[in-house]
Parts: sequence; structure tokens; C-alpha cells
Amino acid sequence: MTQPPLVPMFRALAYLQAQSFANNLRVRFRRLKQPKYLVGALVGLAYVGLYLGQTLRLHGVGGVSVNRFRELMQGIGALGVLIYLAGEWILPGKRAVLKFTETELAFLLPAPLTRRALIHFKLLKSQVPLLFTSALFTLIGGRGGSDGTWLYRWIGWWCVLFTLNLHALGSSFVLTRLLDRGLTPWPRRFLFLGGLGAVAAGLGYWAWSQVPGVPGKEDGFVAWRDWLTAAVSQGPVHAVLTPFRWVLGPWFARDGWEFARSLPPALLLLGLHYLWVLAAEVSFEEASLAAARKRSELQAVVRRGQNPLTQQARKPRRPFFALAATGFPPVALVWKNLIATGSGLNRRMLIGVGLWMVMVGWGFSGGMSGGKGWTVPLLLSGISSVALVASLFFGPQLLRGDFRQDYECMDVLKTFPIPGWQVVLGQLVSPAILLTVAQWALLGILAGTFGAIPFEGTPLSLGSRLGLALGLALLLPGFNLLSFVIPNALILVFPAWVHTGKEGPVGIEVMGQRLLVAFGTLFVLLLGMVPASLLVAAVIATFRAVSIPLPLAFLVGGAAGLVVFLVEFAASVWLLGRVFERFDLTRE
Amino acid sequence: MIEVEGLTKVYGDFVAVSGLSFSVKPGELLGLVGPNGAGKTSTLRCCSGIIPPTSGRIRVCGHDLSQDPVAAKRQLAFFSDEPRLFEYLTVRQHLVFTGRLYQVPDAADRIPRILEELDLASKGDQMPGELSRGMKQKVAIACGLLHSPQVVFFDEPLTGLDPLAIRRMKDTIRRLSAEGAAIVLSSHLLHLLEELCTHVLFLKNGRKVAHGTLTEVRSLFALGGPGESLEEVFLRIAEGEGEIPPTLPATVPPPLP
Repeated sequence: MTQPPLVPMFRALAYLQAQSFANNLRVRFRRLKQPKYLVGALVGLAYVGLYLGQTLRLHGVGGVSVNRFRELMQGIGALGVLIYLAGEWILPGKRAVLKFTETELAFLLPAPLTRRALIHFKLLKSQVPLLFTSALFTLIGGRGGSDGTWLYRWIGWWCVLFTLNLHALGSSFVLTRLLDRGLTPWPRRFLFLGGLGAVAAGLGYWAWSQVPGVPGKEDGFVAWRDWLTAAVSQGPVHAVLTPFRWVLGPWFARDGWEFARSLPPALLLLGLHYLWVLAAEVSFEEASLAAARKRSELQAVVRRGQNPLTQQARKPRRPFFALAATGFPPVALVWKNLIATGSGLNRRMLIGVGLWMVMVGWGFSGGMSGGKGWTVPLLLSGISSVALVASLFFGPQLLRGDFRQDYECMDVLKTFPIPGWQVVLGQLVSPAILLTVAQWALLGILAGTFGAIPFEGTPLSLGSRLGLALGLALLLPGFNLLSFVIPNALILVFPAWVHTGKEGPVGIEVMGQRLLVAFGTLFVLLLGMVPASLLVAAVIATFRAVSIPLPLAFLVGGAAGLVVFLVEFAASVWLLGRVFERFDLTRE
Repeated sequence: MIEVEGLTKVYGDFVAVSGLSFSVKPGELLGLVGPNGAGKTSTLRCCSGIIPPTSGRIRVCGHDLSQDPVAAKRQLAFFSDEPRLFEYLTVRQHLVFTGRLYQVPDAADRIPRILEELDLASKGDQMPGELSRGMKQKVAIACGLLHSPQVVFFDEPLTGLDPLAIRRMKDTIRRLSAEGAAIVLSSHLLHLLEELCTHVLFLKNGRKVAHGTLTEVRSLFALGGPGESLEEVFLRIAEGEGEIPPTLPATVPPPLP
């Protein structure tokens, strides 16, 4: 068989890697000409600088000393590596896959390259991310490390990650061979787990019977630590863990001498793994192609801002209501977006509403009160409160049945014969409806359970609970509508910030942009809340001043706040409608 | 039916379409021809209201697209080269949704009929992900035709279709034209344009190079006589030999009031 000359082939692959890296950097520097990326880069750099500065100031790169527990930690670390590698033999259920992009496969598979050359390319390609990840771990994970300098730690991380990488590749090749010879995943898993369990049981028995000072029931952490340290430092446990300690050796080095001493065994293991991978090579092309295609599809889903878990195998869903052929057009958009939310929601909503009614009824009737009976309602109210507060901030990020969901179909939305404000209204209302319904259910639970929880000895009265709950129930839809305006305004006003480039942007400038977007979103939301909050406070204060009962004050305050939110929402919809009419994605 | 006057579209420093004017009357089928980057898709997207023109005026059935976009869009349908469907709606739900947006009072009667006509009756409850590209194209056509548009834009309508689907697409285009719709069709398939179009408009670097009936354009640019194919004419224009002849027929509509 004709073999391609190794050096030119290696040079070609190295050229591809180097040029890709350089072009990537060039594109990102060129992008800095645009103010939005420049500002993003400055913010991102400032953030990273501040974070690193703080980390270094607090811990130093070397991190906190672990000299006292070094033996134990190295033993535990070695055990962790062993467990991780055992997982590589037990968990996989498919054939060996080398992760390439579709483009790489399109160029490399038909090229006159051997399978070994592809493996080399893969290993070469993995070096930049490995070095970067190692550097990141060195910087971030300052605490809990050894006293070694940053270089020992960096190389240590690289040794660990590259060895794990090679082992995963080698084991996947071996497992593919076993699969080809008829050993299917489940019997293989039982076999490996059985073998591993037997070894673990044997070592455990040895340690228990041979290592003195087995802690008793009354002994504390220190006794356990000392006994475990003794167990992992001698006899068969030490012998079994030795290769795994070698992998971690450079990471634990405290000085130059220790590093120099620990590096050769780690490199020897790495070299053996490399030879093993080359010797064990199997056919991976077909599986790699399938994996690349699948990954590409998932990336497309993620780029659209959708959840990849909900995008697979879409099934027809029944509409929430029948749509008449004529009438207010935005209702059609609400109808469409509610369908997109999911058919399961209908059933789940019914179950949720049913449970909610039971809880509310139980709470109001005092069924859970008396003696220590208030612990269950306390737990429920705690969970509901957390969920309610979380829904205010994370709801608009989780429910994306608006412009974010239809970003790919923006052209279609533009052809609709309805004014821009109607498109915006229809797109924004549906996720707000869903979020509000969920929040109302939580409010109901809170109103019910609070009836059973004593506050300074007395539960809140029914009137107070109802007033507070109804007041909040009025405020929530207004607040939700406003909170959905912000991410959608971002899409329409700064589409490139939300959805730039085919490959999905990365880098410090994009991180800065995201920070700006997050803080900007919070700022705009808080700003939008100011008028409504002031009005609600003024209404409640006025009512209290003239001795009108608090529940009524909450109710009227909530209604007043809702009106303010709706006015703000209407103004936003009108403005965004104008933006949508002029929206031109081709300019981005 | 379609009147375009001085249409210009600029992306940053790049002029995609420059001062383009043309008109299409009911029943006419205008083929938009030009090399890659000539400005065909930008023209179609501006004319269908997807992207705003930088300058110029577009009227659809008498409605100015920038002044009264809703009335103009009610009369038109745009079919892109890649059918864009909502991945979460079934075929039938697409039509119900479109019917409401376009306020088609008899949508309930028309939907089964149109599904039948386009051989989609058995696919009504399927999701777009389950359909072939040709089927998706049909669904897009069904949605576009539900409101009986008077003006139709096709951007590379035969891309990715099998011979049977091509035949059906051509039949649909012919039928729409026979029913009096004004149609603009952009395609690189010159034999398709020769077969279907009553008029052609050559674009190059965003500018109109020629506009007229097929016979008129052939006679203006053909060196080998009137029997020369559109492909020969296209190649001559694309390679720079074809400049706007002084005798170009006056097909540009008079300025709008």
C-alpha cells in the first residue's frame, strides 16, 4: 500500500491548523473596527483583568498550600483519574468517533491520507484547546493546589488532560474492536463493572484488615483522614494507584526538583498511550461523519437560540384554541407561538392547575394548620417564593416563543400584511401569557399556604392574603410583558449582538458584549419598573393614610401599577413596530 | 400591477441595485436575469417588502409599498429559493395561520382544496421536518396562493426540485399568469425563462442592461440573428459585450404621480 510521506503530510495539517488560528485572530481583530466589538473587547478585558487580579491577589497562582494533606490528596486524585478512565470503558455504547467538523471531513476523508494521519491531525488539533484549557484551569483553580509555580501547574494540567484524551481515544478504538467481535455494550459493562468491583472489594478488604487504626463510629474526620492517608500510601492500594499518581505527578510538584523527577513517568505514560492509540486504530470515518452531521444540526439549533433538547423529533401539536379565519391578526401569532410551546404543556398545565386548586383549597380551609402541621406549607411556600422570584428574572430567558424563536423566519414575518406593531404585539404576548399563568399558580400556592403559617403566632388573614395575591397577580402580567420587550428589542435593534455569524461568535469581545447586554437588560428593566413602583407605593401610602384596609390598598395599587406597565408596553410595541418595519437583516 | 421606479439598494459601500425601473402588467411574466451579484435577489426582496429600499418607489396594485405596506402586501406573494416554514406547525396549521393573517374569510373551504391541488392532502398533519424539500416548496406555495395574490415573486423557484416537481411548479406559474397575476421570476435557468416568460430584464452590477420581450432583447443583442438562444445573449451581456443599446425599447413606465 502506498504510504504518503509523513513530513509533508504533517506540514500540511500543521499549516491548516496554524492558518485557521491566524485567520481567526485576524478576523477578530478586524471586527474590533466596529464600535460594538471594540466596546465589548474593552469591557471583556476589564472583566478578565479584574477577575484575575482578584484571584491572584487572594490566592496567588500557586494557590493554597496542601502540603499537609498532599499524600491523601494525590491518592484521592489518582482514584478520581482511575474512576474517570473506568468510565471510558464502561459508559460508551457506540463506535469510535473522532470529532471533526463537517468541512474538515469533506476535505480530509477524500484526501490521500492514511487513517493514522487523521489521528495525528486530530491530536495536533486538540493541542490549542488543551493548552488553553490548562492555562485557564491554572489561573482559575488557584486555590487548593500545590506550592509549585504556574508553569509546573500548567504543564501538569496539560499532562493530565492530554493523557485522559488519549486514553479516551484508545479505549474507544478497543471498544469498537470488541463490538465488531460481538461484545455488545451491556455485557461489556457488566464484565468491566464486575472486574472493577472485585478489585475494589479486594483492596477494601485488604485496607480494612491490614491497615491499622480503622476508625470507629465515634471517630471524627481526622481519624478517617489519617487512616485513608495510610491506606493509599502502602501495599496493593498504593501499587494500583501508582500509574494514576504518575499522571498527576507534575501537577503536584512543589519545586523544580520534584517537577523534574515527576515529569518523566508522566511523559512515559503519555507516550505509551500515544503508541497504544496508533496501534489500536479502527475504522472511525463513518461514525465520525454521522457525528459531525449531528453536531452541525445541533449547533444550528443552538444558533437559532433554541433548546437542542426540545428540537429533536418534533411532533404535531394541537392548538390551544381554534383560530377563526378573520379577526385581529396578532391573535394568529399568539396561536402559532402557543402551539410552538409544546403539546405536553396542555396536560401539564391541567395537572398543575388541579394541584394548585387542591393546595389552595387545603390551605384556605386550614387543613394543614395546627401543631407542627405548618412545616409542609412552609416548605411549599418557600419553594413557590423562590420559583416566583426566579421566574421574574429567568422566565424571559427560558420562554423564547417570540422573535428569538422565529429569527430564521424573519423574512416570512416581514411579508405579513399587517403593521409592524401588530407583529411585535403578537410575538411578545404569547410567552408573557405562559409565564403569567405559571406565576399565578405559584401565587395561589403562596396565598393558600400562608394561611397555615404562623407569623408571630398568627397566620395572615384571608383578606390580607387575597389582597396581596390579587395585587401581585395584577402586576405580574404587566411586568412580564415589559420584560419580554427587552430581549426582543435587542434582536430587532442589535441583531448582530444576539446572533452574529454562522459559526457563532466567541472571544473576549463577545464576552464583553454579553456582559453589556446582561447589565443593560437589568438596567432597562429596573428603569421601566420605577414609575409603576412609585405609583404602587403612593397608592398604598395614601390608602393607609386614610385608614382604608391594607388588602384593598394592595389591590388598587396593583391595578394602578398594571396600568403603568401597560402604557410602557404599548409605547414599546409601537416603537418596536416601527423598528420592525425598517428591520433589514442584510445590513448586519 | 407592479411599478418600480428608481429602485436603489445600498449595503454599506456596496451598491446592490442602482436606479432600477420597470413595470409588470397583469398576465405578464417577467424573467429577472443576471450573473451572480447582479442584484436580482435584492430587487425581489425590496419589491416584496422584506427589506426596505435605500431609495426609489415600488407600487403593487396601485399601493405604494413604503406608504401603505399592509395593502400592498395583501396583494403579493413571495417565494424564496429556500422554503421557510415554521418548524413547529403542521402543514394544515401553516395554512390556517396564513388564512388569518391575510384575512381570507373562506379559508376553511379553500385549505382542503388547495392541499388537494398541490398533492398535499395526505401531508396535512405532518411537520416540515418530515417533508422533502419539494414538499416544503409546495407548502410554501400553498400558503402563498391561499389569498389569491395579484402579484407573485419567485426567487429561483426550481432549486432542488425533482423533474416531476419542476413540471408542477412550471404549471403553477403558467396557471397564475393565465389567471392574470403579474409575475416576476428570478432564475439562472435560462431555458426556463425562455419557456415561461413574456418579458426579460437583464441586470448587471445592479443596473438594468436590457428590458423587453424576449424577441426584443434577442434582436438587440443577438449577433447570430433572432434565432439565437437566450443563453448566448446572456453570456454576451455577462462578459461585458452587451452594453445598453441606444435603441432600447421604452419599457420604463412614465413617472408616477
